[in-house]
Amino acid sequence: MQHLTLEALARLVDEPPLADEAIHLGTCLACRRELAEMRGQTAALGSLADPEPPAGAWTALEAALRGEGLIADIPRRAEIPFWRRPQVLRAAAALALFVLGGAAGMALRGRTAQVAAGPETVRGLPVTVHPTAAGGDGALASLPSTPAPEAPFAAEPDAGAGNGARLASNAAAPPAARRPVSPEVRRAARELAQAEAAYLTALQRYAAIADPQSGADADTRMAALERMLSTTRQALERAPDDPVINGYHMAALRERDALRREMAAGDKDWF
Amino acid sequence: MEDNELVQLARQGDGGAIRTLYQRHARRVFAVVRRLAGDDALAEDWAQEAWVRVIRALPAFRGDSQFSTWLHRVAVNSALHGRRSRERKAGRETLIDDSHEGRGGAGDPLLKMKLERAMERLPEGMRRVLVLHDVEGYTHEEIGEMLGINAGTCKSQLFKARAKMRAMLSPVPERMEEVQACNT
Repeated sequence: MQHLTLEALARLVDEPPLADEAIHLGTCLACRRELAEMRGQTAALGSLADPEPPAGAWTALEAALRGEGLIADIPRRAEIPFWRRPQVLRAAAALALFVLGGAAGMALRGRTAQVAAGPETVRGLPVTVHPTAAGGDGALASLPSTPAPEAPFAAEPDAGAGNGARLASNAAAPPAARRPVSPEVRRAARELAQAEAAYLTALQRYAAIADPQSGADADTRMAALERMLSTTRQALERAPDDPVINGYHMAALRERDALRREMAAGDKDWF
Repeated sequence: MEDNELVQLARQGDGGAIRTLYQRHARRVFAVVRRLAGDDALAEDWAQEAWVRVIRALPAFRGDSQFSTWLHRVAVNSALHGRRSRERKAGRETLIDDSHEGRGGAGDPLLKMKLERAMERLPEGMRRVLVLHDVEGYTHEEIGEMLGINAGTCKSQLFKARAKMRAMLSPVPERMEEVQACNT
């Protein structure tokens, strides 16, 4: 008997084989293997991660909604009691510690550094972050809806200690060197520090891959970027309103968008 | 805060509530329209259109289904509607492109990336069915209803799409070797 066609094998992912197909499968290793591959492909399709919307998508949507009058000009924030938004409380707690710990002056604002030792930022592209931690309720409660002043960002080892690390460090400092902080604040600081550490590790991994000397292709770089985005996404699940983590996330999104455009430009004959 | 509480606030034009709903569900919406579109710019337009439709229709949302389920369905419909509009503008049926090359061997993240890109290369009809069935988990009956085709046609398109994906992703020489091995 002839081998089963790919279409027939595709059908057998969902349906039982006909009698002659079953006989053939019983004797043909190649078709059995191909069927297993087809099943694997189908399973992989069902477990694909959701891609991130492009940076700026919310801004465009917000403008469209405002244009239609679907968002009230004066947001009714008062209807959501502050104490019922634990994520806001946690972000606020982290920021409070940030200020209390005297770390404001060490913020990443305007700082250019390197992902690893060397004179260049990631692939020579500035990765930006919105370092403005202060800024009232707007800064606490949400991503910046308009572009904040951007500063080149990178993760040099000392500066890379970041807000979270500094916060954690402050929280762990001797009593004389800090003001009393609540367990909630300590927890927020710890989580922020962990998120930053994970992000910086992912960023360094990406920087190594993005280096032209590494020989990594665009797919590999994209996979590394997706891992980095996964890290920031997980961090945002814990502190969705944290402006620093949002900055990291937006920076990674922009980098991925740029890589996508680069890949699309040279998309022919990728197989 | 639960979705239904946010929906109540969003109905009254609460920007914060709308934004929270967006942050919670934006990836899911973008994912389905992105895969149906096979194109970033188009997907961004369709995702925005879906969100505007949903926010506009919130006063009529009775909560019979979960907000996320309803939103997903609106997103799919927006993408399919957008697709139909574009096809009418183009004034022709989409041609099936049978040309492909094969290259295989990939770790898991790379395989998934290749799957995404192979899906983008499928003819539109096949891609819609494959995305809706294998990625999004709709049944043939549901897809048939959405696309205005019968379940048999839907199945046929799905099997062709899977086969084409496999052909794009698998190394042809390797398959040929297997065929020869089997014939001997």
